[in-house]
Amino acid sequence: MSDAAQRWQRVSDLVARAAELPRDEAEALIAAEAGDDPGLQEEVRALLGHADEADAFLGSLAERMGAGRPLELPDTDGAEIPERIGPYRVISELGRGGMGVVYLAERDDPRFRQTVAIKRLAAHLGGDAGERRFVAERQILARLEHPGIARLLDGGVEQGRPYLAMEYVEGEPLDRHVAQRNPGLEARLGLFLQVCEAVGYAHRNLIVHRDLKPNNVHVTADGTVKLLDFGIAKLLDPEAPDFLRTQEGPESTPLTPAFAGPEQITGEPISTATDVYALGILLCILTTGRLPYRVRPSSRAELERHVLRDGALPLSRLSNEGAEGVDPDHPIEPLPARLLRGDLEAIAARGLRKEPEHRYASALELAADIRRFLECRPVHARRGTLRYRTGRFLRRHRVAVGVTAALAAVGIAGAGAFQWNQWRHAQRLADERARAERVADLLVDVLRISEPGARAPEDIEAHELLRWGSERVRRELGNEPEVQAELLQSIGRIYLQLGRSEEAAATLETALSQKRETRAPPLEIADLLEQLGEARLKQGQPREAVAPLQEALELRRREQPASSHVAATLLQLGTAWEMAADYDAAEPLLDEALTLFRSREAPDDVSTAAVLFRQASLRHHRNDFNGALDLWNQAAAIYRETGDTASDEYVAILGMLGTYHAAMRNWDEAIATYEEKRRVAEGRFGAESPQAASALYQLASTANLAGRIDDIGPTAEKALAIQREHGDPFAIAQSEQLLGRYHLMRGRNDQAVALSRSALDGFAQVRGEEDPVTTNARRQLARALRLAGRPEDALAQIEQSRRVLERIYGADNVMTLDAQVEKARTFATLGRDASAERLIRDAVERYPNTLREGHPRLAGPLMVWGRFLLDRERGAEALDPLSRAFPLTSPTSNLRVYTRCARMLAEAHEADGNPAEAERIRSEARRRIGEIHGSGHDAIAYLDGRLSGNDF
Amino acid sequence: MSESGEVTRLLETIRSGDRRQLDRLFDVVYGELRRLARSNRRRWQGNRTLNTTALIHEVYLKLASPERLDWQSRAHFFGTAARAMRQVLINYAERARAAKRGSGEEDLPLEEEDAPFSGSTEDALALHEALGKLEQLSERQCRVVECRFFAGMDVAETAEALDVSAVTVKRDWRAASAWLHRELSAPLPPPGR
Repeated sequence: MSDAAQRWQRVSDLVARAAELPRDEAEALIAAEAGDDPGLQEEVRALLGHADEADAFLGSLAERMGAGRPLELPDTDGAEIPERIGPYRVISELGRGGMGVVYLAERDDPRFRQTVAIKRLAAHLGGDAGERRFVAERQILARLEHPGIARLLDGGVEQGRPYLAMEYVEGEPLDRHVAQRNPGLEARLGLFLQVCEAVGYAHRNLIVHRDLKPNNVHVTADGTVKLLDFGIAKLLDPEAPDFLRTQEGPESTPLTPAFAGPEQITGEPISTATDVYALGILLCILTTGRLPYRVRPSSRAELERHVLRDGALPLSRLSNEGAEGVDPDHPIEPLPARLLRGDLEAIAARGLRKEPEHRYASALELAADIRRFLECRPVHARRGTLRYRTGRFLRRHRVAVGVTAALAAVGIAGAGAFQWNQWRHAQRLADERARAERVADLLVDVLRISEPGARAPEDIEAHELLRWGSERVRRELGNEPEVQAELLQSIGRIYLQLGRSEEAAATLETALSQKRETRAPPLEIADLLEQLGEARLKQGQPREAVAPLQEALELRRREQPASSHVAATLLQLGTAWEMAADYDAAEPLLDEALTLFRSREAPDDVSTAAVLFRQASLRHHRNDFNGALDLWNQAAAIYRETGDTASDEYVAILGMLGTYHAAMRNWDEAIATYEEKRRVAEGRFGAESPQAASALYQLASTANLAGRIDDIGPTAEKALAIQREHGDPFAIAQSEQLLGRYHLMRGRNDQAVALSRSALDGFAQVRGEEDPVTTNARRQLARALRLAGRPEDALAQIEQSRRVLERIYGADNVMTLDAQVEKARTFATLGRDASAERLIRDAVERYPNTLREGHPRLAGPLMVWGRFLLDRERGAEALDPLSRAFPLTSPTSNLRVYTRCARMLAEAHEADGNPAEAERIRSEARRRIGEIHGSGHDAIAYLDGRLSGNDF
Repeated sequence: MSESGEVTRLLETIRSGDRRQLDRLFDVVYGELRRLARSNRRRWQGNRTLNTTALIHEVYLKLASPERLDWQSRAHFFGTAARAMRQVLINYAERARAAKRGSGEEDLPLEEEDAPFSGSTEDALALHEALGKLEQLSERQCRVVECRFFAGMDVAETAEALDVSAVTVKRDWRAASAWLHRELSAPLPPPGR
């Protein structure tokens, strides 16, 4: 070793040791160790002078050179407490950390005494320009006024070192607060929401915290949350050219690695989503006491590997493993995994996504999902969202300048708390690129209001906002076709989610032609084509959906062969063909989709279930009911296993299964299934949603089929009320028809006429005249008119109905014959008995041409014939049809029909002079009804003649 | 053998005591860092400086098979990468200076010309020179500065990379940074604390 090296060893040893000591002790050390060598003493003292400045100096040098900066800024403040900083008198030291030292201080001005916390920063500003920037940015931060944010009051630069005076918060750090009190889930989330709201306020003001962690979140004695150090991390950033500049490169090196998002580690741009990541970590600590990584990282490199490569673990797993907490001195009791699993876990995961664009766009979105969770509403974290689309757009078009104006207008319209003047001020400071991105973030916030599938009262506003936004986009972005296309696509997508498929299709078509012109990448075109296809499907134009979906499929097959993307497009196209009733075209597409989905290693999931669902309805349309039922059950089982019951498809499956049970006359199962459908639909779409109304209609309709008349009225009325709100004419007509039928059975014939006529108009409008549904409705109107004492009007209606049915289905069809029977009854009412008798006999003889012997449907016409004869005192003749009808009825399949038939048959026996047989029939019926419904049931009163037909 | 396999193997050999392989490791890592720095220039466009920490991490993820390496091998890798990074930056700075002076007989290849380094060339070269002197006084301190300065490693990571204690790293850093400050800042500021 050279002499110089040996001497340097002594020097550096002394410098290192002395630097850690207070001044007088350092002096003593130097004297003791180098007392015999004045040259050595001098050298050590000189270097100690440099040691003070060295870190800051090397830090700024590293940044100028682009080297990695030393991560942990050592304390450059000695242990001594300065007497004063700027106009403040220092009282005591509150703490120290990477950024510098915090002191408790008092303003040295007798006119207003104020206790503040002063943060004296370890960093250097690097000259006059740096100081000016520091002052400018400080002023912007000083405008943050929110009860949840500790205010920045003042600041300055003293000897080249900046300091900040902040509102002094008497409280304790969030993690310690929770560790000591161990509150339950709701209380913890309540604290978390307060944090989110404060951060969200800042986000709306275009300020990102960048260093959120429990130490920067204090809770005061009354439980109020206060955020400290807002935006300070940014202030410290000497390379940032100005306030709104998006950060890139080494200057974004996080101050607190454990809470840093991936983009902070890799030096990617920082945005509001960066704070969302930190909030995700906070949520994790609040609920499980741990960082979301497999083990507690023992080094920076390990931590970065967790963050960049492994990603965050689910909350429930963290809670179960119970590994070492963040702060061993203040361990937070993890909440039980069962509370965290599912929605909350999904929310945390969404906040902790590696890719910023896949996270919540801002703290407010995160807060909204937490609130949804607390209110037990479906959370957005669990579905693919608009944010994903627009987020991608934002990243790609950060440079687009022209977009700003259009977006700003839309953004500001929705974000109420946003202050225009402030924005204008910031705007002048901002560079265009960052501005576009942030304002677009706001747009996303605003547009998200309109995203939920559930119909919210603000829908009206939302779609008006959209229309306005899209007009502006069309008008003002003509020379930015790429941006325009991207925005129109987002807007189209939202229209689609609002159920406004016509506007969606129009908007998406414009976007598509622009994307073609600008030669957008094929996969983007495919995305758009698929959305357009979806819009047309929702418009009820499946044939128009085929072409775009076909093209999308070709693109996907070329770009992403044999992937689940291809499978998803196959499913869509198969659905389109199936809805267009081209089952042969649909089948191979759906089969291929299923094979592709099942070739993945993952178990069956909702995408597999969606294909099964389609295949089932295909079998259903081909009258392979057993096959359909089997597939529906398979699909339903997948939804239940994966817990994804809150989906459109599951609701639809329940509807179909209910219909099958009803067709098999398993009334109780049908009703139970429809009840589940109603529950799921209410949870998923809201109690006033069309899906909930559909379930109600199906419940009422089943009650009608089962003869449970009392269950029809209120349920059908409720369904109708909801449907009228939404304006789907077909659904409205269905409920009106059912309700009309209910009133008929209750003898309220005028109401029945009005409802039946309205139903008929609705069906005729949607389906046209030549449709069985329309003619069936006309038959009901005819019946209502007849019972309301207007047989002439009834005759015209029933004849029209019968003629159409005969033309479509032929004379022997059951519906044609039903209409013929109704026509016969009208003749009978008009006193044209001969015609009536001829028509009924003819019908009764011809039903067996279509229906097998003993089919329950035969009971109806036979009973009409029996009634006709009984009313004309031809009871003996009535014995034959009624004796044939009675065995076809049963109290379980339709109590009303059974009881009426029993009463008529008994009457016929009496008319035939056989009261014993009449009594035998009555007592048999009383016994069977009593076994099921109890002896006090209305059916028995009716049977015994104590109730009229209209009351039962 | 693929580069990735080679780096992993080299690290394993180094870990088992064969320090001679360090030079070979340096060559591989240096080559990859240079290549990446060039190809990544678009990524850092609009940004004045090169994010060396991110670069080194990227090289690590590309070259080593992380699951096969224990922590100490990783630390060795980062230690070597820190030195390589220093060399990359210095080379860019030298070329930039040569280009500015117009002294070079040879035309710079285009790819070198728009290399990402656009930091202060004089700073970089002065630091390089000073580090050269420091290396004569204490090689270990020079390594500590490389790890912390060029690779952004913290004290614990540096200690692992160099097989020394954390206390040693802290003291070396304190002394070396004070010394560098004195070397690089002239004239001297008023002495005393």
